[in-house]
Amino acid sequence: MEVSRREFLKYLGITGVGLTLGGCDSMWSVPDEIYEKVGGMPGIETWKTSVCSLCPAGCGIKVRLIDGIPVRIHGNPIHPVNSGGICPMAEAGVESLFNPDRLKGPLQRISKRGEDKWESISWDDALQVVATRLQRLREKNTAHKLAFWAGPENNLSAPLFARFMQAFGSPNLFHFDQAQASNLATYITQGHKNALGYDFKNVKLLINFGADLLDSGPSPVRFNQIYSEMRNRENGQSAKIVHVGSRLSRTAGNSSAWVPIRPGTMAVLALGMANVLIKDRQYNRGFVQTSSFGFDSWRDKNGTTHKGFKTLVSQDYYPEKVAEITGVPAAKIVELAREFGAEESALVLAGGEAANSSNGLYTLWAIECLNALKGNFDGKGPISVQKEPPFAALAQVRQDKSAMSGFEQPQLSQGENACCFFEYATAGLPGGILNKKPYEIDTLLLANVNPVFTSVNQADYIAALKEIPFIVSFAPFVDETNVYADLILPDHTFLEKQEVFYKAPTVEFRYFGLQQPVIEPIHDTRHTGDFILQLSKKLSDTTSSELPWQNYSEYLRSRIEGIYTTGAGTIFTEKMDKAWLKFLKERGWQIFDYTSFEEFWEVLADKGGWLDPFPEETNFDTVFSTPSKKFEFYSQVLEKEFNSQLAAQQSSGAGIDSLLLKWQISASGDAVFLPHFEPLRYELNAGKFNLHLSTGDLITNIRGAGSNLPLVQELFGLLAREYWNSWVEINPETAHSNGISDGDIVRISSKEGSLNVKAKIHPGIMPDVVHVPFGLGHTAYGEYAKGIGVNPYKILEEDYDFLSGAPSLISTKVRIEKANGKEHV
Amino acid sequence: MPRWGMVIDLNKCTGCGECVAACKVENNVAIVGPEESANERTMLWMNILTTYEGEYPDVKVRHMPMLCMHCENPPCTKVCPVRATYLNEDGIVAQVFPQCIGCRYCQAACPYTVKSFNWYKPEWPEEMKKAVNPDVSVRPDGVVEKCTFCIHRLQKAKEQAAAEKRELQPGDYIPACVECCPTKAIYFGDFDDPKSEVNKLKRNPRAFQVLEDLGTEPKVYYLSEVE
Repeated sequence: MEVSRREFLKYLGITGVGLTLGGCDSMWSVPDEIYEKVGGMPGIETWKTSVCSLCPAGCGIKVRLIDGIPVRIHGNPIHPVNSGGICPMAEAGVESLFNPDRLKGPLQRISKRGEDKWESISWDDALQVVATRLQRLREKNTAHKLAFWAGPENNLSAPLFARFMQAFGSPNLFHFDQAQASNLATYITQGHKNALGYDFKNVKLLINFGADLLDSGPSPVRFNQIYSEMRNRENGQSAKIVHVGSRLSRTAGNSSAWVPIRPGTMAVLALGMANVLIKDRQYNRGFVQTSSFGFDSWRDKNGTTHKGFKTLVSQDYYPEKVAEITGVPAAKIVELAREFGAEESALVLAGGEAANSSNGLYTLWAIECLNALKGNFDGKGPISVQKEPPFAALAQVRQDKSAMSGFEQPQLSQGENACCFFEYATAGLPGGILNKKPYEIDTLLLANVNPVFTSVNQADYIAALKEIPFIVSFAPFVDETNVYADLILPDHTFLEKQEVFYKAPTVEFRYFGLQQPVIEPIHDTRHTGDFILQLSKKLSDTTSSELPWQNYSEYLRSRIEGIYTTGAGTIFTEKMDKAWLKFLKERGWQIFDYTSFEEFWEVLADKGGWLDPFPEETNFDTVFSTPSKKFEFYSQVLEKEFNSQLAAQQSSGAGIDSLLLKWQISASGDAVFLPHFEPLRYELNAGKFNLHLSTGDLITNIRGAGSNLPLVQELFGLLAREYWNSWVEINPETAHSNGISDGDIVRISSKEGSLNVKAKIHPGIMPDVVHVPFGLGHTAYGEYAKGIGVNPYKILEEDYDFLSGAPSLISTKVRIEKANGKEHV
Repeated sequence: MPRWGMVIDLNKCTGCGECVAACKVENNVAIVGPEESANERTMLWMNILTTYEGEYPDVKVRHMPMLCMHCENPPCTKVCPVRATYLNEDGIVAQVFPQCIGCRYCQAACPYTVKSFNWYKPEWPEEMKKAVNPDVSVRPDGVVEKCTFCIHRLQKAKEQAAAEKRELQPGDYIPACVECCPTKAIYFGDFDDPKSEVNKLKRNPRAFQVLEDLGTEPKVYYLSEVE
């Protein structure tokens, strides 16, 4: 083949004027075997479409390959979640593929657990080891002693894992998913467990209670775009965004106004706003009268009168009192409420410190009530209910006797940390394992989770892991959690993997993105889905017949075939002109030309996914599944849950007080079932610890998952100018009174321990709050992660919202002082 | 001759840092590691300047992407004793790395402090060497480097246009930061072309240049935030 001058120059890498070769020859020494693999002509550029899964958002990407080697990741402009944008972490995606710390094949432990000493094992042997162990569980009729901890449910592996566990006979599949706390607030008020979608395009006023949308989940790239769009509308139509929070985060900084608020008191502000709205009669009376329950006082079937939401907020949450608790001036509260009431298209959102607190559920609930007062749940407003794409449905799982008896067993309970809605809680898992309640766990499978790093009860997790006889992990790296495993069966990294990602939290459209290998696996790794299917074949007749697919790819295609068959929606397209799409839809035509599923698949792989451009309007009257079939200010869902739990322990004769005590709720009477303020518990025992510790993700390293990537570390604190390092943000006044200057090493101490970290004087943080970013301080996870920076979760006091089971990240008080020693612990 | 330049709309920018990362990957800018970072030797051709105005609770934070301004009257080229940096025919402040003797005069002369010095030969782990961008050569130690407006992309675009026997079209050539900005806050084009979008934008009442009173005539304009 003839090499053109241009290709030759490209190969030499000197196509730039003024750029010449200089000590760089070793830099593009791509090994021969890779060239052979791709049948390489040097310098040929190709592009492949896929999905990034470094964080749960699942942004569409286009990968640039030179001679088959991925060199750069771009955003896929037609993926509706990120519309062509990506984040700094995704830029580092290629480093994840070529990471020197990747596991090159399956490993088995050869020394004591946690010592990180391994030897290789073949895939066949590993499969046999796991199969034998699991078969023994079934023979002894103890299939339920298998537990599976998996990551977010935003992909099609999740239903496969669920199916596997069901056919095998264990109820103990747990997903570690941050989005769950907000779904629970929906359940409490609306009685359904679907996630909500938000359409911001017509929103003119957004009040954001604590959700750090630009820096952390659910989809930071998308929200950077949404925020930018909202404040750059033409003809003076720009929206106003008000951020309520204890710190001027990047999200707050990109808002029109920032309202500083004392940590843990957001429910009070929301209820205070409701007070003003009700007093001014500036709420959607139509919606409240016809579609809500518990707004006014009401009488139950026994004739008892119950307090309504209106009475509660009118009595207890008047602006002066709210100001006293929250620190937000009363005039500001009235102004905010009136603005919200007067603006036709106004929306409130909550998350971050509102959700991750010991009063999280009541707080989210109170904020949700503002949306109800606005009438945002009428199907026409910005809120809708997320729907899943019409994947081919899976048949009901047929279980054999052993599976049936195992599956009927109660789920692993939570020991000490018993919370009301256990299915939403993962923090309680170690308790159940340590107390063997209701039985001991024999084998644990770990996929895409690292709770020893990302949870507040890290020590409990370690103790629990040590207690479990056999642990299998599917992670491509050794991390803080699977260092305690017996077998590590590494999965591919996302650039080598096939997967479907859908239902990113808060998106208002139905879609899925197709992740596909842009390069053949470069090591001896295996798709976890493939392993589970191979395992199923070995276990029993039913696991084999209920998971009949030869490999994960076959399973995935069979699910997507359902979408092809229904003809719904369209493959991602540049031609997003709605009128044109509608014209086609009405005639049953598609933009793309295909006559078979194979052809459909080819287009799909090229474009990167599927979208339903015409979502149906949500009819909330049919969505509300509460006992009243309405939006419930007074939650009968919660009341019912309380009653059923009371009935379950009837023998002890305990009343509702026992539940309030167990779940540490300070309210009593009707207030328990209405949104109200539960003070954070540390106020009572703060003592010499006088500052609130706050923490949160950065877009450069969401959930700390990118710490093993050099680029991520190098840019970690880009805006703070701290690279490869953690820091603590301190208000200038607080720093001054503690004798601390910018750049000093300070010691932050809580009751749980202390961290030494660099001080950053930050005028945008409340004087009694200090903030340490989350993401660093790994004790494993490879050479780039280990020993860099600090993990603020290490000094968090353990506290939870005992209703939702969500860990409270703002329940810790600390003190700071200048340290003489070095950085870190 | 074209005068390539940039307009950054600060009302659209959210300070996410994607341009910084895109630049670093596109141009094979060295990762210096924790120790060198602590010595403030982090190499960023594109950086984000964060400033705070006012006092708590009335604080305003501003994010400003900062890169080489490709001055029409560059102070850095004038002090280079070996003509390793010069204003080229496209209006780009270009560099000839093998000619650079590492005196760092240009670095000191730059009022925008956007130049980095290679204290060491850049190193990548063996595995990651496969993933560098073959379009851009890696700089040796002992030389100064900075934003090139992704000049390798201009070269490619010119070759492409020549091969197709046509003039360079707007959009044929855009640097990596412009291409990847999720909020589309960065505009790029030819200031010499009266019809170009950047030309229109630079006459926007919100437009300003950084330290314009120095007479450097930067070809990076900013649109200030709408208050």
